[in-house]
Amino acid sequence: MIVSLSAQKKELQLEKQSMPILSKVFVIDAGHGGYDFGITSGDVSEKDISLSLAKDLSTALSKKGKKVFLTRKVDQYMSLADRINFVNQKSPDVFISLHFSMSEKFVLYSPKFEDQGSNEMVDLYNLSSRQKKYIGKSKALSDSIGQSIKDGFKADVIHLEMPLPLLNAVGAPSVIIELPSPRHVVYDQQMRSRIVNSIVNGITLYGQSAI
Amino acid sequence: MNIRRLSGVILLILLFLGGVAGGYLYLSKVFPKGKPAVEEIVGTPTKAEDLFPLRIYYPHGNQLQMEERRLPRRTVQIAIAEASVEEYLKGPKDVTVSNIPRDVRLLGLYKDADSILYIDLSDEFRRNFQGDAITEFLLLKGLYESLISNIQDIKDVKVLIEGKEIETLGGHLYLLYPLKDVVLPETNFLYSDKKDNKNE
Repeated sequence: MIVSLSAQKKELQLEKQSMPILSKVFVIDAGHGGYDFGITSGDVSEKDISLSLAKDLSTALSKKGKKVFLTRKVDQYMSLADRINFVNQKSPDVFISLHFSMSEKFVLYSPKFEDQGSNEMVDLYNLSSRQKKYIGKSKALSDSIGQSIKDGFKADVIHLEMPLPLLNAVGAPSVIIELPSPRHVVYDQQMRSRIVNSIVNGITLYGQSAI
Repeated sequence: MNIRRLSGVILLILLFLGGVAGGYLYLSKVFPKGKPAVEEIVGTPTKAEDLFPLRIYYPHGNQLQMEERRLPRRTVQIAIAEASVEEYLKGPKDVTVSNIPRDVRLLGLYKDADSILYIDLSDEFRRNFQGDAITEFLLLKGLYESLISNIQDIKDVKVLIEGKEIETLGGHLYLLYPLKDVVLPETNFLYSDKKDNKNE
């Protein structure tokens, strides 16, 4: 029985890996950078781990024949406005921003808009609210990646809706993934591979659900 | 005649000395030595009704928690705003690790013609901030609520760092705009597999 369950699981895993990713163009954003270290723990900083993971994820998707753009490739400061402009110029099928959470859990953010958004300041803040058209797809993307992380790590995943500028101002299906704090997790090569695999599987699931 | 006059003078001197001694004794009882009269007046205990409550909102898990602080009464609105910011920056009571950045100083505070309250904070507010998106959101929301709930006649709050506008505090939210539209939308805690809040 144990053997058959394990075999079934392996089969599902292989099936998931062999499924095509339907999205073609990706933008991966490594959070923070330069003098903005993000969350730190000893010598480990959010800006460095998010960059390593963004590069690993880019490599994994490129191997599957996808076009991938990184908002930053080195340790440099990049403003929110520059990141938003970069994403909107590339018009990707999927936008993923990588950050750390303060807890030991994975946290996934989906965009959120106020219903009465006719106020001038609200419009300015949302930078024309480009996300509105994609909000359903962003939610599906967040759900798929969340499910994949849950399966891969057997871990609690928190889903939050928040009016974050990097989500609200981007014209693409988008998600911000906060990884467990380096105070709780060691980000060695093995851990990074597991995270990248979970995200890729989540993107695959999202593509299948969008058919 | 001379004797009568002399005894009269002696009597007057005795009466004068008695008066001086009596006066000294009376005054030394009223104002004890080493405690000047002015200090006594200033040192009159403050009555309970001279204190006023301030409602300060601090991040707690995925929401804000209100703490009431009682301070000597202030009547000028800008002084109440100053007290609100200073109390907020002190952080919550009975909490060992707070999300309020350390060593932040209030550099200035003024209200413009559009009733927007400008708060100028030292660079430590940005430099000593460590947190994720929800921490940053609640930090700004707590500051906004602490001011709006204590001060009349202000429509919004804008934060400056060392007298300048900065794009963001921690890389997740804009700080370029007044806080109301940044922090008023409610955060939706959609779901978590174990139904418990993070950071708790």
